[in-house]
Amino acid sequence: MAAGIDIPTDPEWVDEVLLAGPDNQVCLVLGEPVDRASLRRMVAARQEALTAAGLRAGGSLALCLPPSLAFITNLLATWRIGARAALLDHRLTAFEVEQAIARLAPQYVVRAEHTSGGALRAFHEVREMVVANPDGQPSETSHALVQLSSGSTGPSKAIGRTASDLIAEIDRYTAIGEGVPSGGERIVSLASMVHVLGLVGGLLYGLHAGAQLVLPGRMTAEAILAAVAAGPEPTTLLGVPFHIELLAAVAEPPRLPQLTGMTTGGELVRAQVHDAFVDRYGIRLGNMYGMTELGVIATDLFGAHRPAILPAPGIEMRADDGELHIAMENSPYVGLVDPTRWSDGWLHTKDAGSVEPGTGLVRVRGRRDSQVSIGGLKVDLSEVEHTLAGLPGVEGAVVVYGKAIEAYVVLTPAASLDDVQAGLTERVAPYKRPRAWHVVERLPRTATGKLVRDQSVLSGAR
Amino acid sequence: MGNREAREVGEAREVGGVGEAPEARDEVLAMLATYGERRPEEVPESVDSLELAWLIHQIEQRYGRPFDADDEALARMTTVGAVVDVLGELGFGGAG
Repeated sequence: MAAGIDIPTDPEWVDEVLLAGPDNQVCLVLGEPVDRASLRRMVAARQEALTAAGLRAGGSLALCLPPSLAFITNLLATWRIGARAALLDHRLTAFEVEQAIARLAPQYVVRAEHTSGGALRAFHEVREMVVANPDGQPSETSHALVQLSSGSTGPSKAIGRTASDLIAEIDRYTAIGEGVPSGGERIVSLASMVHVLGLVGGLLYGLHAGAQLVLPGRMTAEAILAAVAAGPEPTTLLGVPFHIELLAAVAEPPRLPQLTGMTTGGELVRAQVHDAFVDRYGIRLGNMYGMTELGVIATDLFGAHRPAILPAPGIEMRADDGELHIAMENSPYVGLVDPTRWSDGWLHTKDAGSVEPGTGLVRVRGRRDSQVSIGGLKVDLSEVEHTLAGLPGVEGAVVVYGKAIEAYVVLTPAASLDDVQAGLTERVAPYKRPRAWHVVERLPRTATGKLVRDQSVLSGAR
Repeated sequence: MGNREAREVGEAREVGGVGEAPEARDEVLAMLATYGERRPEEVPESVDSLELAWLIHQIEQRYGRPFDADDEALARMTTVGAVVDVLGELGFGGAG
């Protein structure tokens, strides 16, 4: 079934909405500046290569590339062909990629044949290769984009978005207006373009609006500030709360008159970090609330409503039994009917929250499931726990989040923790792995036999 | 307590590499602990990419000069022990 708004969209949308603009207008800066004429040329070349490999309108492809010009051109070329692109985070393990490909059955997989660049690089130089998947199937839906979100048990959720849904999100950014970069400005994006904030809020909106998308050379405070300083145009930083912490820690930042604001997605930073940032840089610090299913949902781009946020134009929100729901015509999930996630035209966010009558201001009060955010990346603790508990040598496991992801495990007598850790390393991406391990004799349970996840009880079992 | 065999385990248990000065290690742990308001003993042995970005800034502020490690050196900085080694190689470390 279709997601969001389902109007059949001609592949022409890529040219009209994203690629149009003066030939010499620099639209991307990944190390070197790329103007629109060059981008159009590179996209056309990739379109030719993907077509030669056999990709057709209605076909399907998975992109497993790090942030790079290759990622951008292959994505736009896939859409220009009229095929569906699934995005697989390049940090996933081979095991996770294999599972995702089995689940999504793309006809082709675009992988990195060679990557240059290493730790802390915000983008990579990639030579890509196209691999045909013998078990691949054409797209059965009208989606342009598919992203995976981890599920607690069983298959992960596949979230589909149509071209018209993506265009609607781009239009939403335009309609929000003040605080969103305009044409001729710059966006220095610290948010991964493989995920919705960096993808739509940075890349697609920037291409549409004629705002230059700039990625810093490295993800360090100095390189980020150097990327801001590199151009005179009004500049907005786009990132996640970690980046606020990182930049707030710079004792004496250079004077950056072009820096007009910073917008982050995800949870709010602590008040003292917020104040330290505003004090250091003297700019607006804005917050956005969004989901992979829908993109940007609500914002507070000037910190005027903190900690509340205001739904973006066209977004209707309500609290249902303490859970935030968002009006959404169709279920965004591909091949999955789960009434606890979408029902009767409402997307269930799994976030606790409230909507203030009259003003419509929304408070988000945290997850009602086991999802946590690690540097802006969503991790479902129950997925990690389920995988860990299924490894040889593990009798039981509880995975919790305090200051970091922590695992409590009961091992079989002959098992070694090293083997268990190695097993988990094969199966889950680095950012999902526990940072602290506690081997215990038994896991505490409630009177009815349920595993206890309360940290104070768990630490008593140590 | 009693004969409970519970073990507290970081991801890598050897403390200190060959010739690694304990004070250099303490210094790295202290810098990493400033991220997320942790105590030095709460810092795990493995260093993730967020911690590495944080650490580089801490090193530069502490020593007042750029930390110009190449990709190869940065790629090695995945544990506290490896960070201490790289800092030593590049002439950072010690009492500062």
